[in-house]
Amino acid sequence: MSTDKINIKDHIIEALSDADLRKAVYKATASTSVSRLNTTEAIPYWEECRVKTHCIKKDVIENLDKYLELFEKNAKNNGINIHWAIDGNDAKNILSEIAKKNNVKTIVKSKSLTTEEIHLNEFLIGNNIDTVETDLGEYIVQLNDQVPSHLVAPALHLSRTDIGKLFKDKLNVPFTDVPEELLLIARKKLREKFLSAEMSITGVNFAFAENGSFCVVENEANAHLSLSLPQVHVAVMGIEKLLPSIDELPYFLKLLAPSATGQKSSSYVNFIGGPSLQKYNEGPKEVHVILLDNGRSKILADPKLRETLYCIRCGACLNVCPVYQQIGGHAYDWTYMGPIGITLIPQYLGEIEGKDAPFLSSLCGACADVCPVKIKLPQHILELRKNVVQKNKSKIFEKFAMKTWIAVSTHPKLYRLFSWKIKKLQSFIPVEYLKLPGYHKKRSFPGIDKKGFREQYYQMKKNNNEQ
Amino acid sequence: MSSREKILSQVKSALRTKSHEEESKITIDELLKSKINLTVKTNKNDLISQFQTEIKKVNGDSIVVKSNLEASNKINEILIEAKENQIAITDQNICTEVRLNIQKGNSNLQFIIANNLDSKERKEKISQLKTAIVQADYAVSEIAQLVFLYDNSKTSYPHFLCDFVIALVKVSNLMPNQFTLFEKIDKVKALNMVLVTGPSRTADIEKVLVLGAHGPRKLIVILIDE
Repeated sequence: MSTDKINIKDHIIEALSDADLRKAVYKATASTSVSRLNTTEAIPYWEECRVKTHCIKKDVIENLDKYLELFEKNAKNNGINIHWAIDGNDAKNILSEIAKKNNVKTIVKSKSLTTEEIHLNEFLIGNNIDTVETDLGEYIVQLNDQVPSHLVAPALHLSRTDIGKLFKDKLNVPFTDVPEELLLIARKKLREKFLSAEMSITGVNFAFAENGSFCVVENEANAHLSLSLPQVHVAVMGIEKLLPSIDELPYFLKLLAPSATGQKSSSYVNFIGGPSLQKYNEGPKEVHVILLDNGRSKILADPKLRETLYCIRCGACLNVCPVYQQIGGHAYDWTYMGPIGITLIPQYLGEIEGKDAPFLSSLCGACADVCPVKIKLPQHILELRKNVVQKNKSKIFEKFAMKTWIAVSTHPKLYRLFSWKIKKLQSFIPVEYLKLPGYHKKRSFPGIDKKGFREQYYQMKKNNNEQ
Repeated sequence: MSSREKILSQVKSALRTKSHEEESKITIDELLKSKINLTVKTNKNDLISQFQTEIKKVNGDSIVVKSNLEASNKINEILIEAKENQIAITDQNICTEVRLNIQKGNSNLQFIIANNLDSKERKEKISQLKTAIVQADYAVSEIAQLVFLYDNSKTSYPHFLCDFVIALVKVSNLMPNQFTLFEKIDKVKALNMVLVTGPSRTADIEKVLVLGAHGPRKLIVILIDE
């Protein structure tokens, strides 16, 4: 389990006060959701494919020990060095040893949430290894001393002007806010790094137990250059990333790109089946895979919540989440954000440290509707809320409020009286000064509708009858 | 206890409790297969036409030719127009034939055969060149994808280090979709391979699509329909 400390509440206040951020996040997520919908609607077997991938993931997770051992055996046969890391420190020590042994001074990294999870960049840079993120979005957030704000689009929170200013300050180039020119600047800087780096680090999208290989999916070609130019390659892989064999991959590829970006297919799917320098006179002479647990076996121990390990990190649930759309990714204060993030945060960090996370949901269910592997996110969010409440001592006010709510809402006459009283009372209370939990000076409390649901319902019914 | 033993023992112990989820009673495989089959194009011309439509959607381009000689002539025209005089190329069979054909009529062009260079030189030399000619093993019409399997005759550097890539592929190796491709593919060769759809791209700045993130900015696929 991670020992990270997080502060969700302060970050939310910060995010809600930043109108530009909210606008940028909403614009980006809304447009990706539209693209997603257009692409998925054109696939006539989309729903069946979701069921299929759910069943494949279920099989893998329910037999994870067997698949892990099979992958290890076959990967070793392919000449891949397999390492097991119980947590982030373990993984960092392994990486440090590999880097030392190969006299590594520069590392090129391709986007990997698993390495974000263990704060790998901080560690490598602290050990005097020049570590450069090569995905454009990740490169931008690294230059800005930030972490990604979205699982797929790391710099979604920044405008082109922000990026232009950042490049001017950090890279000593003239200001431009033209995306094509900004990309050219980054491409030139990073091409030098690709050609000089001794080692590369990537994550793993899918690994195949049957043949001991793995694949990395991307759009920019930075992962391919990372995988093929440096002499040493290290892939950091969460233990849940396995598939039984490469035969199951097309089902996942069919779902991944549309869910992540609305594309029909990602630009590149790179397959690595061992060191290729000696075989093909090209690519790495050494390939290492670090199998990282870091709390995953603890998640596996809960039969209700282990389904959260099915996630393929497409980010579709973030794009449709009304909470994420308002606060962006940094408010979650951890590697994973949005609906999947709030189920993972308390499981990785514990129910006390991650107590606020499961409440960042309206439970509207949109996340479950779009999840390509059909993770029942709202159900898990509710389960985690229950766990959090059981583990944390509730405040007296909260207990009193909930008990009152139960009493009122289970007695219709009392409910009617109560809501009538509140409706009448609100004209005497200036709502903008009302201090209620969850509300603060930057957010006004909405007034209670004067008509109420019951009155509106009967009115609607009457109107319908008259028609 | 080593990390390996510890992780495996924790995983085994966690799995003693089986998932609460009910087993799906629906046999999805049959239904899925039949729905996929309904989308499969089997006619050669339909496959070509689908590939051409799809590659345009991912900002690539394509040309259909009837022979390797016609492919050579088309490529020669493209290279003259692009005013290129140094070209990276692989030594696969069609590439070699095309190179020899072009050299017969255009002696100004210099071809750098990537496979003939050692690893370090290959990396340095190819990264200085703008244009490459490569050969794909398969293509997938449904998503305009090219498939490069790696063995001794191939190299990925020309495709990924050059700005402008001309890729050759035989129409007889055009697969309708990825399901067919993964059934057909040699599983040993598939250990090291790359699937490519269009030029390299990014939308990381305000969701604006920009081509040529780190790989090629321009991709033309020549479909050889012998």
